[in-house]
This record gives sequence, structure tokens and C-alpha cells, in this order.
Amino acid sequence: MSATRSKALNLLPPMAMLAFSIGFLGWAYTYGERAQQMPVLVGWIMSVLCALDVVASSRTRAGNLVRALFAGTRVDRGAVKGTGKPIARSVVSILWPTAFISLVAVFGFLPVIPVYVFLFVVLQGRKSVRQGLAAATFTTALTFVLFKLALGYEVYQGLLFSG
Amino acid sequence: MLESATSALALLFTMEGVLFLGIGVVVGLLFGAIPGLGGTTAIALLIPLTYGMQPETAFTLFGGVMGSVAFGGSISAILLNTPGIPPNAATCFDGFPMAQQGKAGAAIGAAATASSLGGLIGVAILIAVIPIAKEIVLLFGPPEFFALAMLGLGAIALSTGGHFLRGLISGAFGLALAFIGFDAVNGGTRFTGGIEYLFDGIQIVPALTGLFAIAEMINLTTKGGIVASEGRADVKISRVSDGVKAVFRNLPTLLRGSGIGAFIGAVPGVGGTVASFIAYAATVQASKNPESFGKGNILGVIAPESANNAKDGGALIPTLAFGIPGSAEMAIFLGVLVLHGLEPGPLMLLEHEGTVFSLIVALALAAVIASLIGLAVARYLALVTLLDVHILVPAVVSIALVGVFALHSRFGDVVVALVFGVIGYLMMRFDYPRITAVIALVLGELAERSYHQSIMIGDGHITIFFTRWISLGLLLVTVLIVLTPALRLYLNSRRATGVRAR
Amino acid sequence: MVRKLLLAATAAAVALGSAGQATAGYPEKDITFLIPFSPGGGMDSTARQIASVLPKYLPNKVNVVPKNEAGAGGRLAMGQLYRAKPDGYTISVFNIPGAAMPQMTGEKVSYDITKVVWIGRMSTSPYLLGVSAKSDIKTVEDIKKLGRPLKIASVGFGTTVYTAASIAKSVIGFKAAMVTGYKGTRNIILGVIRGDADAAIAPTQTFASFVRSGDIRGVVTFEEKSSYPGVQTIAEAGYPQLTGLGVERLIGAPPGLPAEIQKILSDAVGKAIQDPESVAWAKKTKRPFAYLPAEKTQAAVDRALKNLADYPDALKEQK
Repeated sequence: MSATRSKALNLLPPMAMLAFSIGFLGWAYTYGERAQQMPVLVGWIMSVLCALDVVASSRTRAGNLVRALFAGTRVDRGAVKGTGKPIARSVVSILWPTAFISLVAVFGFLPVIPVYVFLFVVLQGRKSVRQGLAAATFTTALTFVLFKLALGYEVYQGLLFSG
Repeated sequence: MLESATSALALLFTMEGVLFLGIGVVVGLLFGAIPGLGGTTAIALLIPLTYGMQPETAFTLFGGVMGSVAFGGSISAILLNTPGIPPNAATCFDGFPMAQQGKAGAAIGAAATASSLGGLIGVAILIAVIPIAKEIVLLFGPPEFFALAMLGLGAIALSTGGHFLRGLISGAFGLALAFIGFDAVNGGTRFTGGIEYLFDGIQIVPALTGLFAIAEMINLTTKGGIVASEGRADVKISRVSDGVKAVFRNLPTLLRGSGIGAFIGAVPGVGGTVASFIAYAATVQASKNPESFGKGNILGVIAPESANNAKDGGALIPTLAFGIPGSAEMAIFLGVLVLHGLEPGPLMLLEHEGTVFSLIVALALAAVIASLIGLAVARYLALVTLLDVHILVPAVVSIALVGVFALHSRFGDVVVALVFGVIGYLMMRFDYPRITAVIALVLGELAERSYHQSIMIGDGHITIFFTRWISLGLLLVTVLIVLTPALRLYLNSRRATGVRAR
Repeated sequence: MVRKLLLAATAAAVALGSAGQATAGYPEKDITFLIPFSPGGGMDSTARQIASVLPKYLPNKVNVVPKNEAGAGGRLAMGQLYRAKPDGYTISVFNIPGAAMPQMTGEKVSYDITKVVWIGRMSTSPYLLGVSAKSDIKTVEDIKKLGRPLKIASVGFGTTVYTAASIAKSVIGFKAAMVTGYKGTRNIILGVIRGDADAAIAPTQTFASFVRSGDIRGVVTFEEKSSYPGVQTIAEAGYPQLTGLGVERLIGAPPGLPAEIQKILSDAVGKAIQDPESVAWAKKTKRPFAYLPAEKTQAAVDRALKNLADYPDALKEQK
């Protein structure tokens, strides 16, 4: 990975947080006198801290100084240690639960759980079909026994089946 | 009082009592251990099953759940870096590193012992203060609650694990999230963008399940392998008894944790999460080598685990004195009283002594039984860390999200858990400590509400915080806490500069 | 088997015959009963009591399933009810006047309380003005002569408790300073005992055990007949127009509910409240029911809304 790219990646999270805090601060000012007091205070503090973090994450002399002040060390501990892993892998890892929830929204938990567990074990984990089936059966059975049988609780049935 | 305690004991030793206590403990352990589920969910789902029961029997069941749920939650905190319930969040700091080093058995042993002893100490403190419970509750008004919230937020500065600046940013982020939703002081809603689900604010259980459980599962998916990665070839599940012994060798830590737990547990709406966090921070503070924390120091397991079981004793103080619930579980407990035709309030202890004592005794026994069960199975539970993550991940994700849904039957909660899962994963990757965000999220509402209330009580003057000695004292402690790491950092940086200059 | 087929055929015939009028045969499936409070509170148990007896008095004996939808001062539940199909399968508990407050104060909410179809009233609870037992305030006159604003502990702006205090203040004519933000009426009473504020105005039932324990003294009750010995009613204090100031606990349905279904439900609720089981429960828990049928409930709501309009002070947030 090139140095410039890693530098940019280092700056991205603090910049995003700074944008969030400024947005939050602006939003806070839209509320009534007493309702905005605390949010505005927190918004300002967070904006200042995030600005400092942006400086600290830049590999400049000012950055070194801020790091020394706040971390007691000039070593850049905040350096992106995760970048060793390809971003694509993280994205895939995030997509799995997202896809799961999207399907649950439509079909409900009980039908989707076995499919999700099976596909995850087989596709992501590259395990045998037998292991996939075992994991899927176990998880579904546990959910069913714990909630439906033992507690008589109806888990989410999905838009499709809840009438 | 003694009579009630004995009759409560007598009830517990009937077949029925033993049966329901046992069921309660097993349900509590299970619901504690599964992220997304917890004591509140367990009790809420169990209530319909208790309609036909005698109140004493019902409370035996609930006592069993309450006494065991925190220990159940510590198991997943240690093994999977995923607190089973919010109060176990602080246990992750050192519990999980221990598991990674193959010392999961010792960590679980320590958690079990600290939990049961903490639970007993909490109950002992409760019984000791019952005669003056009313006076104690009356000492703490909005200014004191505000000062306590500040103390909790101040403790964040102690627990940022080398990422001081980003720890503070996470804290501010948590506070910002705490403002979302209904504004209890001024009426109306804030930061919801008109989304009705957000009117009720960001709920702590889905948020925490996302930040820890889902985030950890995303992380494990990316990493692959097994949890106990550092021991890889021959992971030894170290002896559980090492953990048990460690607790008895570190009694001051246990007592400090239990004391803090009982004290903070009495604060309505804050409860175990903050109690165990402050207990952890105080232990780090008192330690001669604070650097060893976060890397598998067993004291970092003992302190929060003793606190989060002692908190139930504390939570009962306002509950018994005035019928004001000290925790979410206690709120449901009071509801069950009403359902059974008993009236919660300042006379509860006088009028329903027997019922109350059946709960207290069940609570104490449950803490011990849960730990005994835990110790017996710890060895096998620890094997989870040797399981291939590709089998673990989908199971945990499914069950945790079902649990999140079960709390309020709202699909929005599941979506929040997912969103916070992604946020939590990003925070992990970019070194923004997650627990400071959680603590701030828990405390934000209390801080803002009690601040405005205090000002209203003090006729618009801020001096009210400094003219009441408890609030003044707590604020001074907070200032001390915040200054300590700054001082330490300053000294460190001097040392670092010195080394460089040489 | 033959019997089953016959039954099915009859059911189909009935369904066909009633095409276009969905009300015949109501109810055919479980009814969802929204409770805008967390499980366990007084409101929750009252509602659950009704829900458990209600099936006995409904045609087809379908279940009534309570669903707690707490949060945001009831806005979540009310929004959910308002959006539900007006088919009689979703009904909800309402607290009046609290439920009307957000929209009367100009907050943007997703429901219109004036369009809700009312099924009936479960109960009503007049308020009591109580002070700490140590307080010097003994009568309404003492409050007026206080020489400083009376500090009143309250839950947030826009709740029934807050509104009642504002109305009482305007009518009696004293200065008040609100201390808001307490979680629930029990906490505001604790606030008064602790000395955070001078007084609290809350349901008489909630006060009961605190008065008995000697922590709280009642100053004036808004009941018609005082249930506390020695505490005068608001009429005796000279403000009869405030009699009945309190909370009304109603059951409502989404706008557009057919009148036939409204009647079925309303009658069933009335009978459920008089069921011996409910009567025994009310006696045991000291939470009396006070049923009103649909039309009278509508009238009570109209009166409550008019009251709010008459006391504009109650709608204004104190600064």
C-alpha cells in the first residue's frame, strides 16, 4: 500500500467524526433555549476534540505535538492498524449481517436463520455441507425452543407473514 | 425482620422454592450469556407465566434470574469480547485478553467467585442499611445525581487505554447520541429527523449489542481462525481454581468493587453498567502498575464482576424505601407487586415484609448457585474459544438479534443493533474506544436531566452544586480523577522526551 | 370431517354474504391492545386486567393481546394506533389530557387526537395537591399567601400532571415554578419529600401510601368527595370549577372505525369492567374502575380539550 494512501486513510476517520460533530452542533442550535444548552456544549467540545484529532493524525510537527500532549507519547498509536486487512474483506463481513437483517425484515426470523447460518458456514467459512446443516439446525432449534416453546414468545415474523 | 428472613428461607427449601429458584438461575445464566438478551427481557417474558403463582414464589423465580444474569453475561464478555448484558462491558477489558492468552478458565473462575461474593456483600450492605434506607435515599437529589453522572463521565478519562483523545471523542459521541429522542425536562423530541422510532431515543441494549456483539462478529468474520488466537497450537484452558484463588488473594479489590456496586446500584436509571465501570476505573487507579490493565490483569475481571452483582442489593434500597425502582429489573419487580395486588411505596417493607425477604434471600442464594453452576461448566464453556469462528459467528448474530427484538418487539431495535454493529466495527478498527461511548450514552440522559432539575430547584443558580456537601464532594473527586491521567501523561511525556534527548 | 366441511362452507357463505361490509362476523381474530407504558405500572396492570376478561364478552371469544409500546410519552403507541387499519383489531389505552398535549402545544406528531374513535373510559383518577409533612403549607390560602412562587415537582412539559398543575395555578391564582424531568409520579412525590419542591399534584391513588406513611400531607383534593379524612375538596376551598381535575384513562381506536364495531367493543368493555373478577381485582389493588360508554367518553374528551383551550397558560412552556 502506498504511503499517500495510508496517510489519507489515517485522516479519514477523524475527518468523518469532525463532520459529524459540526453537523450535530448546527442541529443542536435549532432547539429552544433550555433544550439546546447541553447538546450545544457537547457539540462544541466534540468539535474541538475532533479537530485536535485531525491534527494529531496528520504526520506533521503539530500532529506530533498534539499526540505528545494527549497520549504521552510521540508514537502514533492511532495509526490505522487494520489497514493490513483488505478493505474488501471488511465490506463482505459487514454485508453478511446486513443481508441477514434485510431478509428477516421481509420473511421473519425463523425461516431466515437456517438459510443464513447454512450459507455463512458453507460460503464464508468454506466448511462442509454437513457442518453447515448441523450449525443451521442447532441455531434454529435453540431459537425456537428458547423463545417459542419455553416462553411462548412470538419472534418477529416479517412483513410477509405478519398479515 | 429475622422472622421474615427465616420464613423466606423456609419457603425456599420447599420443593417448589428450590424448583423455581433453579429455573430462575438457569434462565438467568442463559439470558445473561446470550448478548442482546438480559435480565429485563427474561423477567418481562416470564411475567405472564407467574400470573397464577403466589407472589413469594414468583419472586423466588425473579430473584433467581436477577442473581445469576450478571455472571452469565460475564462468560460471553470473557470468551467473546461481547458483554452479555450492559454491566459486563467493563469485564471485556481484561477478561477477553485473558481468553486470548488461553486463560479463559481462570477468568471465568474469578468472575464466578467475584460475582457470588459480590452478590452476598451487596445483600449484606442492603440489610445493614435497611433501617436507615429512607434517610439515605433522601440524601440524594438531582444535584447529587448530576455530580454522580459527572463522576462516571470523569472515569472515562481513566479508561481510554492509551487512546486518550479518541476516548474522549467517543465519550462525547455517546453523549450526543444520548440526546436523541424525547426530552424529559422540556417536553418534545430532539435529533429524530421525524423518525418515530427515534422518539424513544437510542436504547441501550440494542446499541450495546451492536457495538460489542455484532461488531465483534464482523471483526471475527474478517479475521477468521479461532478466538483464542494467541495460544493457537495448544490452547490450555487454565485451571478454574486459579481464578477462584485470585479473588481471595485480592480481597481489597473485591470489597472495593462490591462497595461501589452497591452504592452506584442505588442510583435509579444508571445501575450496573456505570457501577462496574467505575469499580474498574477505581481499581486501575488504585493499582501500582496501571499499565498492566487491558492486557489480561485478573483484577480487571474481579472488580467489575463483584460490582455488578452487588448492585442488585443497592438497587433494592430505593425500591424498598419508597417504591422507586433502582434498576430496570426492579421496575418490573414493582410491577409484579401491583399485579399481585400489593402496593409498592414507602410502607412496602412493613406491609409486605415476607415477600420482600423472599426476593432478597433468593437473590443471595441465586448469586451463589449461579456461580457454582458456572464453576462446574467453566471448563467446557471455555472451549467455545476453540470453536471455528465461522460456525460461531452466524449463531451469535442470529440469537443476539432475536434477543434484541424480544425486549420490546420492535424491529427498529434490530436495525439499531446492526447500525451500531457497523459503527462499533469501525470504532474498533480506528481505535475509538467503544466502552466510553456506552458509558456516556447511559449517563447522558441523567446528566442533562439532573442538571436542569438542580437549576430549577436552586432557583436558577448554579451554586446549588457547591452548597450541598455530597454533591460538592463528588465533584471534587471527579476533578481529581480527571486530573490524574493528565498528570500521569505529563510525567510520561517528560520521561519520553528525556529518553529521546539522551 | 363432514362437520368441519359444513362449518367451513357456512363460514364461506357468511363471508361471501357480507362482502363489502367487513363488520359482520367481527371479531374473527385476536385483537391487539396497545399499552403506551412499560410492563408493570399501574396503568399496565389495569389494562391487562381488562384485556384478560374482555374475551368473555366478545363475540367469538377471540383473545385480546396486550402489547406494551412504551416510550416518548406515549407518542409511539398513539402513532402506531393512528396508522393501524380501522378494523377493530387494534385498540389502545389513552391518558387524557396528556395524550392531547403534544399536538395542542404545536408539536408535530403523526396523529390527530380529535379523530380517534373512542371505545370507552376504564377509569379516572382525580388529583391531590400534596406537600411534605414538614411543610408549613396547610391550606390553599397558605399557597396564595406564600409570598414566593410555589415550587411544583412534575414530569415533563406536556404531560397530564404538568397540565393539571398549570390549570390549577391559573384558576386558583398563585405563582408557580415547575421543577420538571422526574420519571413518573412516584418520583415527583419523592422529590417533594426530599425537599426538591414544595408540592406535587398527582393521582390520589399514587399518594395513598405516602400519606399513610406520614411523609406527605394532602392540602386539597380535586375529588368530588374527599377520600382523605381532614383534606378539603377543591370545591370546599372555593374553586368548584376544578372538581374532577385529573387523568382519564380511555380506550380508543383508529379513525374510521365502523360504528357497529365501536358498539361491540364498547359494550364488551363495559361488561368486562363489571365482571366479578375485575371488581375483585379493583378492590384488592384499590384501583377502582369508572366505566363510561362511547358517547359519554367522547363528551369527556371534548370537555377536556375545551378545558385546555380555556386555560391557555397550561399550553405554554414556562421559561
